[in-house]
Amino acid sequence: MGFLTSKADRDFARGIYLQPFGSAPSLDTIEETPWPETLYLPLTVYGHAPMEILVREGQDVSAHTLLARGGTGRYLWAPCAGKVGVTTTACVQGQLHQPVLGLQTQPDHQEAGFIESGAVSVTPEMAEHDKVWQALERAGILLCHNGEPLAALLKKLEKQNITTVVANATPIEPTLNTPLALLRQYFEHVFAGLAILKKWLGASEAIMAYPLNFPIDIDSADRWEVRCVPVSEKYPQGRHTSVLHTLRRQGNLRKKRRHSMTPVVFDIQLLLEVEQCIMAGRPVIYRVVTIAGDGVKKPGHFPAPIGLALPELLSRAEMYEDAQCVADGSSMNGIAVDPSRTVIAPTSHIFTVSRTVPRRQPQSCIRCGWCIDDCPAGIDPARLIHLAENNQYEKARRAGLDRCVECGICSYLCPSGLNIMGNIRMMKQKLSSMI
Amino acid sequence: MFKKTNKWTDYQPPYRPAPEPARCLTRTQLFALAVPAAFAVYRFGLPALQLMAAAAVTALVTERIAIKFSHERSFGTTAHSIMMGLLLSFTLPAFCPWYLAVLGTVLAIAVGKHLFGGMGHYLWHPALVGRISLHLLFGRQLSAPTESLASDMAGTAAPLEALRNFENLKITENVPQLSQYLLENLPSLEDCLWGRIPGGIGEICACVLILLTLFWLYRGYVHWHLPAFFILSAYITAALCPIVTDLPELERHVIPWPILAENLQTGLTYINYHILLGGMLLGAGILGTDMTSRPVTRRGQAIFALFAGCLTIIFRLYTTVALPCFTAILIMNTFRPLIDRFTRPPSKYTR
Repeated sequence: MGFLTSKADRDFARGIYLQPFGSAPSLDTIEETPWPETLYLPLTVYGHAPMEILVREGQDVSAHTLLARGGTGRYLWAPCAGKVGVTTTACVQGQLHQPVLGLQTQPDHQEAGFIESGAVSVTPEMAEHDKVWQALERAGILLCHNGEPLAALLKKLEKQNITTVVANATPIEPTLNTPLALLRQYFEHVFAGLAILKKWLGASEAIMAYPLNFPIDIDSADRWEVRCVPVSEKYPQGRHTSVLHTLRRQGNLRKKRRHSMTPVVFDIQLLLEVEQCIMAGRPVIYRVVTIAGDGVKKPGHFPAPIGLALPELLSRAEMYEDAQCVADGSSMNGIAVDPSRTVIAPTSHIFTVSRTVPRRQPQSCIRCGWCIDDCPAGIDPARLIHLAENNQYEKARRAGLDRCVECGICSYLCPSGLNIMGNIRMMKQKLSSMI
Repeated sequence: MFKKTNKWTDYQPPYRPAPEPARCLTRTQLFALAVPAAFAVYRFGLPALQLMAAAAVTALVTERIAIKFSHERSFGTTAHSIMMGLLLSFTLPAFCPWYLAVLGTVLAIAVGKHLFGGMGHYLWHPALVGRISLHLLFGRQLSAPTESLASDMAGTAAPLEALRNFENLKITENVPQLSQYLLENLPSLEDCLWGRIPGGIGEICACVLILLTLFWLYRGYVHWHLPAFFILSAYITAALCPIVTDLPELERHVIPWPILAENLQTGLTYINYHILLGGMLLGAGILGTDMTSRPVTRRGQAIFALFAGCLTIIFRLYTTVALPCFTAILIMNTFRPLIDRFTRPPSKYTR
């Protein structure tokens, strides 16, 4: 029924409408979490080389002390005062047995909340190019989809001619609306962060892509010279490449894809971290984590210090006793984790708890074609799973395996319950490990 | 706090319930076929019910036996087989004996479906395989009713024969009288729409078949491309293909372009007869749109339907093929892998 949808929905050609899975967390409350007894600070994310620890075991440290450092832009800061503990392993970002540094917390009462709000304006010192980069690099801000430091990305983009900076406020799923909650409560900080990055990259335009029915503060956006563009809420609009695709179709970006003109997309939590780093000098110590799904009674947004063990947040969200599965990520493409061994990483932001996970048994493909119709990448998932079952990885690569964005729409829609995305992930891992 | 039997990491995404599993899909399709079945019982009474029941029961039994021999794992396969049996019975005339329906269903399910790989793998539409086999083996019994039966239970091709052999076409002053021929030899268009014509028990009521196709569209089992392009290409082919008769005293091509034969209204009426008679609507909406035997992309389905519609009209006008629409669909099913090769992404012929 394409002609009955709104123009914004038609601008996003592929993708599907997702029903909310469980109730959506309220956008107005971001509750602070009390400090736990121990924090397990991750020394590595996404399998990068572990950072080198700079403190001794048993040493007393104060808040915002540098505990470990890796390459460019990888820094680990102490979220609060405490005593350094032993190095153990935990599950970080879906990967098991990652090294973490223990910290027994002894928080002072003067610890600031997760946001230091003050007068927000871009002062002349902030315009100093090198100082801004050094501040961002030392803060240890990481990109949440691949764990790369923001500073490294900025260095790479400096050589390219970036004309547009885009902020993607579309939630990945209707119930995982962290960006909207942050945008509702801290819009000045978000716009300031976007303005800082726009100035640093020398871009001429800043765009805020927000979902269609969200009441965004247009006056504040005008003050910060940010153009607000409504986009559809279809899944997977929350992904950066999808929002670029939509903006191009709407005509808000230039259609030609010359490499030097590629716009760059940031998500809202990153902009908030940038603003806090530059304005208030705070390193990355908090992540706002959203716990949602039909397996929790009270889904919500929780600003958690890095290294917090996941069960604390799950008990605050009142997880049901018969919850089947906790996934790091959305309900469509997350990774199932053991919550008693998982900690919050500098790149975590969503967890889905599910009571109604469907049981999938291997069946044969009935060639309905639904996966091909709705695949955002325009590849053939049915063919890829057939090649996966026959272990023909090179043929899969020629069939467009690398274009898969792992959104999970194919597995979701498949009437036969085939685990298409899991097989594609397996093939990608096998191919990358074979090189 | 955590009480469960499986390990936490045993699950694969997505972690939310699927929108429509295959079991529900085929079951919904089967229940939707109750509408043409009810109409068939209303129109033809007990013989139709006998045929449909025989076909459905045979389909169930054949399916259960075939599953034991094959290594196939597919949850919607039983409802799918019963649906194939019912569709086969829809294409049979009401006077067809029940044992023919049984034999046809066994051939359809065991040979047409399971021998070729089962759900998701067969090449030809099983119900059409069964129907064509029945025609090859018992063609005479199926097309000529005995005299004791009422005229409305006559063979499936009775009105369609008039559209294929224009023997009674009168020529007045070198102008073929097409409108008079249509009036005398064919039932009215309204009768065709409401099913008051002889034919196969499920393929006569155009109204019910159009409703069924719309339901298929609403549920997403088919995109609009396949039925629409099928009817469109049949329309254009019927409009442009010359009508040929064997009257020796006249020129060979009697009516070069039927749409301009006498006036536009006659031409359009003639084309509407082509669409509403025979198995055209059943083929375009229900048989051609079976998920496994149609191309998998919308572009491929459009190509499939264009050729199938065109072939149907050509077979009707220029050959003596017994079931032109079904034969056209079977031929295009044969070319389905070729169409898929060129239209499935990411081939170099698609973006």
